[in-house]
Amino acid sequence: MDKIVELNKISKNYDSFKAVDELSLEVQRGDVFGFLGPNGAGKSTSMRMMLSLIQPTQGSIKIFGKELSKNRNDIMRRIGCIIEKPDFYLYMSAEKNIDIFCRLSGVTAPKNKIHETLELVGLKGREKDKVKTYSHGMKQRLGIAQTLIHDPELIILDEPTTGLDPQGIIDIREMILRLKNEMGKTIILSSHILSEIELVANRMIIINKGKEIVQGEVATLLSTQHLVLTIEVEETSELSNVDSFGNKLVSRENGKLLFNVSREEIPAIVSQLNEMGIKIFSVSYRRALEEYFLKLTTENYHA
Amino acid sequence: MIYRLLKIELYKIFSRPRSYIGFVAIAVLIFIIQLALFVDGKTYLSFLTQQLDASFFLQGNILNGYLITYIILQTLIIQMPLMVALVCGDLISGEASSGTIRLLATKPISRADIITAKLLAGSCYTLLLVIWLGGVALLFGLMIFKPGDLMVLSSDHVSIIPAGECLWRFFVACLVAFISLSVVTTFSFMLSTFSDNSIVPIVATMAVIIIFTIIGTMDVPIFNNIKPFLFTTHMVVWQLLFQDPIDTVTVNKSLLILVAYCVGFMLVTYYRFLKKDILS
Repeated sequence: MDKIVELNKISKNYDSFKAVDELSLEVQRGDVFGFLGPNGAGKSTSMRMMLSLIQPTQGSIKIFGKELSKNRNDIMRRIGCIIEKPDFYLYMSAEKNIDIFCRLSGVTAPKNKIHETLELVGLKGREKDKVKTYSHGMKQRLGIAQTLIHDPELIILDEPTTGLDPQGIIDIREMILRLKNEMGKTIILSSHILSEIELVANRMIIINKGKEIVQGEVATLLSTQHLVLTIEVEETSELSNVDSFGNKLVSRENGKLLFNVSREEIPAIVSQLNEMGIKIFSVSYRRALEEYFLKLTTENYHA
Repeated sequence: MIYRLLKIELYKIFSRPRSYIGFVAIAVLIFIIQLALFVDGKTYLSFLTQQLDASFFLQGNILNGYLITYIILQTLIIQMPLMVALVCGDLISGEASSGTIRLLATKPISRADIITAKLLAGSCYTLLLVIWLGGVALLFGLMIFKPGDLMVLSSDHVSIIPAGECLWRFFVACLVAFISLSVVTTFSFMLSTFSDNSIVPIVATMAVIIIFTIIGTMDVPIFNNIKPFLFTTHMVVWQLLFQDPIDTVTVNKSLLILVAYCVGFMLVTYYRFLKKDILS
């Protein structure tokens, strides 16, 4: 496979604070690569380093097989991006904004191409309107148009669904899938919502406090082979008779039994509890990584 | 690439209503001053020349287009730094506060090119402002008050510039005024790279100019040593173009100091922006 992005132990320090700590990752051609982490995990800093907005304190970045520090302009010509939120010159029309950013990318797009791109993102009929009259969702679409206008190979989107309403989120998600499936783009997408990444990405990394937690295929990382099963039961004396289910039971407190199991093992555990005469009020499960990520996010929120 | 960037930067400057505040203000002020002098210019002139009347006999069209232009330049050129800072102080910080700096800095253009194009665009704006001030004042001054010899009064002498020499002197004076204002352009632009809010560089530029001007006008011995090194001291050097003969040594020395300031501010700007992490 063709490596599009390679981060090799990159770090970014602000005095004694390590925003990113020896992070390494690889993105292959055609990937939709999810960059996941709670707020403040270092996602945006990492993405900004990939876009040369921030200089790494150490480590190297290769994009399209070339060192970013030495081939910046060549690399940037092949990248489209939205960082944090799409900001434009509010006093200009959407059409003029796209024209300017296209020229800055070294390409002169004819008006019909600008109109086609704006149509692709659902802004047909609003091309001449000043961007200050646009809603957040429309600016987000314009941001996507801006990333596409010079036909980049790699698209970097930093939390592209932030602030969007549910329909806006669905639209952006569909657009990402179209970019991958119909246009063959490689996409790096950051989010702090696991389900959002799961719906579009084929590979992902989870980072926290600037460090990699896990990296790999989404299908593998979020497989149903590793579940955290929660069974809410009646608190009775019989609970003390519940054995460890072959070390699958990891905790029992406040009437909740927590198991580490695969999906196939759930019916057997439920039957066994039934046979022991324990009343079951609810059965729910989360994938182990999902559970871990939720814990991580909650810890960061309360920190 | 620089030419393409410069065109874009000029388009951005002239797409914003705030960029026209200076032009409109200058036009309005010129209109008001010329109207006032047209209506009551003789009283104003007799006030100016009251000390001369005892020793000299003044004859001819003294209140002419050249004198009116000179009065306007003298009055308005001190207001120009604010107009320049309003636009140039916003060139980087405005992009940072609006977030467009992120897009700009991820395009295949070097940061040095971005700075160069913006600086050139800021300089073009300053030059246009000076041309507008000089041009409008001169055009309407000559149309309404007609040409004549220019009488320039200073604290210790009177210079009479023949009408035939006035045009080139105004032209050179405008160029010198442009170099003076370029210090404000480069200074506010430099401050603009340190802030993500355009108010800060604009206010800071004006604050420094006010402080330097106050130091320059106070007759305190301790300040006398630093006065020659303050850029504000040299920003009025254009007035020397209306002395006869022109004190070229002083003019050149002042220009050298002003250019040195510009170069210094530009070097800091480049260093700062090339090293800057874009976090906005």
